[in-house]
Amino acid sequence: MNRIKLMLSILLMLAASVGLAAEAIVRLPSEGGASLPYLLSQGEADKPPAAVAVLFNGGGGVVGLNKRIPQPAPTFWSAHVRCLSARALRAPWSMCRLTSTP
Amino acid sequence: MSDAYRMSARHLRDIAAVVADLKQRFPGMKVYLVGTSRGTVSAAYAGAALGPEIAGVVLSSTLFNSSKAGAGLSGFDFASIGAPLLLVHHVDDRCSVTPYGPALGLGQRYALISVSGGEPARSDECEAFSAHGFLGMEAPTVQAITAWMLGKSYARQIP
Repeated sequence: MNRIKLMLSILLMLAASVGLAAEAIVRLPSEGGASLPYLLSQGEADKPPAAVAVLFNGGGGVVGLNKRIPQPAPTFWSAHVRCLSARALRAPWSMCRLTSTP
Repeated sequence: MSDAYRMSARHLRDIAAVVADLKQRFPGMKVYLVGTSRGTVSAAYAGAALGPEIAGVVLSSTLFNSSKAGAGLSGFDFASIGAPLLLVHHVDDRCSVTPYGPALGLGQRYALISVSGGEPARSDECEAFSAHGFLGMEAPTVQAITAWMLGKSYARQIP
């Protein structure tokens, strides 16, 4: 059973401008056989990141990864591309939470 | 996710596991915790618990006041965060649990980015499409945060 209560979005901050985002859901083993999923998002996968930021949403903190995965819906991807790509660092994470809601 | 859960040992263990996984994926890379609004409860408590494991903590629109949902950071000792701390707040944040005043006070001891201006609110005052979410000021705000993370000079006042 996934423990979706915990929502961690990972954004790799790049010093350079960011292109299309590469994203993946990472699942870590957790207590009681549960898995701990988090969203790993990288601005430009072919360039080394300058730092890593673990992002914590406001509100309920839940973005419903379990509803969007295992087959990410186009809306999910487009939302995150809009939030996290390029010019991506220009959108606040709180806005990402809202815009990524189907 | 309640405030109590965000402060819990279970939540902190999960965060520590993610940080450890990231450090394995990106050896030598600095890892920052960034929380906004109620997410600042997670970032602050994890920042205090993880100590030198992280390079810094960023709290934007910090939940300084308690609410029906929990205590927020009303009783939190910010000095318990060993890593560098950056506060980011809109001076006109009208959300009752995230007032600007305490951020200004903490700005005497910690780095603070104060944001003003932007677009008229299009959402509740505690939601993102308002000063609480830096509406219309997202680009310079995030750029300043990123500069702070990368050790570059950053804007303390936006604009």
